[in-house]
Amino acid sequence: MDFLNQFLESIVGIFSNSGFATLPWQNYIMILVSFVLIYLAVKKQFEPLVLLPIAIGMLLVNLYPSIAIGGQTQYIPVNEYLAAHAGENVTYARVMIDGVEYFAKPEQVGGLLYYLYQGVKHGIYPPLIFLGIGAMTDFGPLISNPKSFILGAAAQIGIFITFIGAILLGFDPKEAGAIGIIGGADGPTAIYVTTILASHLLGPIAVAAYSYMALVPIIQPPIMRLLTTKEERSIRMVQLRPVSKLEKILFPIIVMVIVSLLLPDAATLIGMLMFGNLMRESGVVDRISKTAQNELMNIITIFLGLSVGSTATGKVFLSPKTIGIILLGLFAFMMGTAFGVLFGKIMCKVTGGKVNPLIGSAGVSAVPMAARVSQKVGQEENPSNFLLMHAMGPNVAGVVGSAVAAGVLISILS
Amino acid sequence: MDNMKLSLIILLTGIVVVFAVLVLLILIIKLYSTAVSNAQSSIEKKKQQDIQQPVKPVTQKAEAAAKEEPASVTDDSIPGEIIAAIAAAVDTVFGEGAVTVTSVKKAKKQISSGRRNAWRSAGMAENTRAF
Repeated sequence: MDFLNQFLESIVGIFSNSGFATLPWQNYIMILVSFVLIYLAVKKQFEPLVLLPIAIGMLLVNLYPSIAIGGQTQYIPVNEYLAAHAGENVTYARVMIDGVEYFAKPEQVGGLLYYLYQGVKHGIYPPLIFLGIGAMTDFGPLISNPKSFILGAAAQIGIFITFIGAILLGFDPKEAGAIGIIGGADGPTAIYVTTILASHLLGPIAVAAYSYMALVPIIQPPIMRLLTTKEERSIRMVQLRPVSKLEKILFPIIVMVIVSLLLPDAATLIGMLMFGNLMRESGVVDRISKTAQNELMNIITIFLGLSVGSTATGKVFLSPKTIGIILLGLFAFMMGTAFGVLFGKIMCKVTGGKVNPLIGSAGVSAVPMAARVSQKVGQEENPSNFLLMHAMGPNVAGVVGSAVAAGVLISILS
Repeated sequence: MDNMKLSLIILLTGIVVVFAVLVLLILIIKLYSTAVSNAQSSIEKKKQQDIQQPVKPVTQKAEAAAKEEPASVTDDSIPGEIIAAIAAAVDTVFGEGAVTVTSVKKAKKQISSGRRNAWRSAGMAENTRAF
């Protein structure tokens, strides 16, 4: 009989510790949300490299919240501890709190995602992703046609207009800055800015940013068609001039120096982006350039995705603020696209019809998807028109532009 | 009200700074692109002048040799396309018509360093080079 009671108690104990008994209802909704993201990543292939780790991070943290909770440390006054453990060889770290010396005794080890999240919290992963992006990016089309920078700048206007929208909806200025940066359509930049300005919104903002980047082919074309005429969409652009190796090598050095001097808050992102590009263009460090493009980028993407996903707990994600962030993010994205196309139209007029305004939409970063969209919409009007290389200029200018915009927001708001 | 004031400041500062930085980059890129292309074209001109002068006697000699022994120009086992590619590469390096290819022969021995052939040596160097 006693044996049976003990058996039943252990079964009840296991059940009462299980997720079924301890998880709040919000977590179950988030588990369903993570299933939707897994479906979008696997079946629809929407940014699967990022969306899948985010979805799994989200799933794990809502199944087992302790996976994202830090370790616990007990602080014991040194005198008391030594009195109670005379003769013991103590290896705990000593810390001073209010003039009293304590031993920091680790009580419990933190969860895996807590430790991975430190790379996000301390702003390590996004610049490393930028290093990989720099090593993968050919700035040739931008060097060949530097006017593309205008389109890259124009597409950032959406960030600042959305900032006002977020303030009007009741977000505080720091939160509004983090929401506005979604319009830059650059995941690492959005995460970097959010970590500094409003880290509590990291989950919804990262999910919104990557979701909209994946939805570029759906969001952008209607805006592009609405703002341009058939004749403008059919414009064929002249072939870009070839760019010498020396120009390509000088470009990252010059951009790094100029932007870092003008806007020190953008130096980390731009510095890493340009360092990656210099590795690629110099051709003397092929091995580490390939590592930055492949192994390092892949490892950081996994860590970043899991960490970001782990911030999307039910309590944080299921709030009216998240709905506001999702809507404002979409607005920012649409504004960025619209201003890029409108400035493309201005450049078209100024150059006497030599610029196809469709390449303006590529100024929102989202490399290379946004450039592909320009190519696709252009070819719908004129199948023999090839805009891809022309759109790559504003596209990579958008990466630099969004990092500069991030620097502006951090410098004013932090 | 304060937040609205801040919003307008952010809007104006953001747009002005982003455009100013990127327009500055446009100017700098244009400047250095022009400087680089000017410098490179003058170097190329100088190089071509240097190459053309000493090569002339070679052309004459080669032409003379070709006239004397037209039958020994090629090795029969080498396809015509390969000879055309080699001749085109020589033309590209030395300038069009600067030199004449009079003979293409297969090397009897493989070019090697020690016991490894050139490809193996290149692979070895790639994998053992220090960071």
